[in-house]
Amino acid sequence: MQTHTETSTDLLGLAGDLVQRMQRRGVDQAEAIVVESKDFSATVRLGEVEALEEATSRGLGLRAFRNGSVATSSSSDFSEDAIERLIDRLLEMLAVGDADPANGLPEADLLGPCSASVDSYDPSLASLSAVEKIERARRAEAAGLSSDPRIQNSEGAGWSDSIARVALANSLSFAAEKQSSSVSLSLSLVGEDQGVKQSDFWYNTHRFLKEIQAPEEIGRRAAERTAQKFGARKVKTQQAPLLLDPLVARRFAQMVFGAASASAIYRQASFLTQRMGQRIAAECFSLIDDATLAGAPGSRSFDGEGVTSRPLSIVENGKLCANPSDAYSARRLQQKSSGHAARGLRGQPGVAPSNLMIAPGKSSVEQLIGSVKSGLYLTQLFGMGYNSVTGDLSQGAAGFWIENGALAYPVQEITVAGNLLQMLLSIEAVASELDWRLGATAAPALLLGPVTIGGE
Amino acid sequence: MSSAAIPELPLPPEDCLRALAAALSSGGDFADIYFEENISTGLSYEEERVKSASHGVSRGAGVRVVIGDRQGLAYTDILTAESLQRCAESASAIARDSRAQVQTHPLQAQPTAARYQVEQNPSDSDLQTRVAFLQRADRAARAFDSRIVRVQLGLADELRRISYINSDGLVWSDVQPMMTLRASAIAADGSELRTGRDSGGGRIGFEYFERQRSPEVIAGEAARLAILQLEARPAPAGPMTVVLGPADSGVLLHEAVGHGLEADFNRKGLSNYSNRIGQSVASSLCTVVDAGTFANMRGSINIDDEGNAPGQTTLIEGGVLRGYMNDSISARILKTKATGNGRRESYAHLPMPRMTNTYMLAGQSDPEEIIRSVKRGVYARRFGGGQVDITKGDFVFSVEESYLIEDGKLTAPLKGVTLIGNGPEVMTRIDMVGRDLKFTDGGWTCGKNGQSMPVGMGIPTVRVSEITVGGQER
Repeated sequence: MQTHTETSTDLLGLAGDLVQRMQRRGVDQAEAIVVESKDFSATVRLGEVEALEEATSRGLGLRAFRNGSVATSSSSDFSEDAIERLIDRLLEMLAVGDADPANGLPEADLLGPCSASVDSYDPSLASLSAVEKIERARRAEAAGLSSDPRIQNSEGAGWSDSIARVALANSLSFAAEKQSSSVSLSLSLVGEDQGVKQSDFWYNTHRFLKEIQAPEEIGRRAAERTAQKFGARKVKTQQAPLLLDPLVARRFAQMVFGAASASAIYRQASFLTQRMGQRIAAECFSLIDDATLAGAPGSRSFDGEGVTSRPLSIVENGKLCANPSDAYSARRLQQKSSGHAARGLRGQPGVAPSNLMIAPGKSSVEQLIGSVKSGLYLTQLFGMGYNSVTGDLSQGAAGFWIENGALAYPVQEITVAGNLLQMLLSIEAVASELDWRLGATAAPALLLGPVTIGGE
Repeated sequence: MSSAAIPELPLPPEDCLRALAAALSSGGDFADIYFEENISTGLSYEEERVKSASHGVSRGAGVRVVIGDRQGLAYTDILTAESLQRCAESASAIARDSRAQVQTHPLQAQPTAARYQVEQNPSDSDLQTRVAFLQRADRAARAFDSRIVRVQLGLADELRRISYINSDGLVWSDVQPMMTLRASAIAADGSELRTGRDSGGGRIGFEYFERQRSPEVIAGEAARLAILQLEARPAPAGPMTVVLGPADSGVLLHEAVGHGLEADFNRKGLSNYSNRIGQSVASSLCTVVDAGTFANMRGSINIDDEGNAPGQTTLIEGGVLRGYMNDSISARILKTKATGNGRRESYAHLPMPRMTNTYMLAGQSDPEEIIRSVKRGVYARRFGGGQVDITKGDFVFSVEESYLIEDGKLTAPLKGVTLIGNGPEVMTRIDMVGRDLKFTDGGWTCGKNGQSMPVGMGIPTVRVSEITVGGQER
């Protein structure tokens, strides 16, 4: 019986046992994942603790193959009879699944933790008390609310952290456990100037506590970003160059990863289909995913199917050179898994990045702004208007207008429309700063050629 | 005085009452325990075969302590008296600086409505029945046009069993079904690829496919949209007159006014609708209502996740702001009655004000006449989704089927675009409202603060005199 406050379950033993139980029931291949996590979050608003959440939770996920078909099941109930019922259901589902020769676990020689020591767990998090965590959120908010008289309101400062243990075992004798941590501190502020409200936020998130900026810095950035929005206006409908802020460039990196992934390519559901080895971006653009990067927030020694982590160049100097994959999508392209399977408790694994980055260039953001005569510094894209099959993009946008090499005024309530492939090919320059504190995707600012801006 | 039987809880009532007392041991206004069991099944179908099947069981309980506008939550997936007690102690930390005042109340059953009768219960149906629906959908999409090269289908159903007890002794339970069929299609013409998608379902069983929309109709619609996009041309960019077709365009209300009228944002002064009750925030043609009371609709609920009955909440009446959607905390702070909009994604989440089914009442205009009235503009019919910045009120929504209007007639289909506007500004520019109120049937899911919720929406044909269209053509 496990207790609420200590993690003492033998996850690896349980995962191995689940695999054996599935095998005894006559499946061809089996895989089990067992997860235990401890989560804490606190929201501080206007100096008061508004919400506290705390939990220890567990779950298990099963995947089995038989006669070429696949099924998955998950449960938060670890009792004997619940597991037995879960396996019964798994067998029923295997019976209705159709055979597909690409189904199956990764090849045995791909499995195992990588040799590099990949550190994904920060033990110092466990020793930080709830009172200290709340205090950091409070300090971030206080700093944010004291920096500009027009900013008097807040949606709250949030602290959240999680410590998780994951055990993975399969019928090819793979069995390994990894422990990971994550921590984030965020603040969202609301200000008012001349009767118009504006809000903005700043945050940091990482595996390691020491990487998170001081609360006062988070507060200052959130206030600065909010204050910069006062006086925002529309611009005329026109074509103009775009300078992507790192926050937006990160989204671009993720879009390219998704379009290049084997799961999109084998379906021919990507604007990058049939473009392997071809130029799909300007020469100054390279995209790399590296799960073995020391000290980075998305590092892991093996992927969601147990495949050894290794770095992968996806786009090199503008040329598409790899399709990140999991075992299934790799087989569909006559390849081997690149180690990019991501697996939650539920459902099938998917293809996802670990530490994804656009390789930094030589210019500072200031130099890039200085090089634009008239254009848009894009800090926010919102809405759902991106189609990964066609690459067409039409989204709501906000940012700053650049005039004669300087930020002139904030801009809101406009749209940006173009095609991602054309946008990638039009990249003129890549900035040099890379920030891993915004999540496991890091991208420098990117300067693009003209796109259509919808406004007045 | 209710004499209804007390619904059964996963743990004996005395264990629950002991946990509630522990939850309030440091003080607090009230505490509640939310038990949930969620059993789900999903089948995906692609390349003319069952690609994968999945099944999930999740079970747990969340103990919440409320003090003023502050909340503590601790949750567990181990349903024992000890585990519940530990959660209660964790959750009580929110009230650490106040005084305990635990009173016991006799248990009382809270009546709930019955809005989702299910005849062909997915959980009683075998997997083969589901496969047959998917095969029918797949054949229909492929038969629609030879240029359909790929069809992806997913059939998901879940059953949530919820039971609840709070420190006032109130006990209720609900069983919430949900069934959704999603279809997406890719059309190819040479190297040109285009996509289309549709979905259908609700809190209903498989009888939905016989009574409302068959698998053939849903998948056929995805195929139609993909083929239509092959002919589509780039949309104009800039301000235009836009006619929004019925049903799906309800996403406009959801983004332009819905989120901004959730009471938590308003009591905190975060929304651009804060402190504007009684003011004009839309054209006088607009009356907007949120109601979780329709039978079998995706956003409908028998009872909200705090035990309040959903009603028909008038948000905007004749253009005037009348009220907000609230949860228990907001209702108490705003000194108004609960509207039954307190919803939580699961036992592991805190409730907050959320929409149910949000719609605009029908107007007087003939929908055909509305289109004829536009010299040059855009007619938008199907939508992909939207987002809003509730503070300033700027919102976007993406259009997946639209046509150019020239001299009062629909002409060329247009490529997918985004429309952007400011909530109150756009609502004020609604200058014609049709007689043809329809509700969407799609699988809309609304996200807020990291929680996802099924919602419904409805709207008649409306004309917006000017809104910015995010096309690629200058």
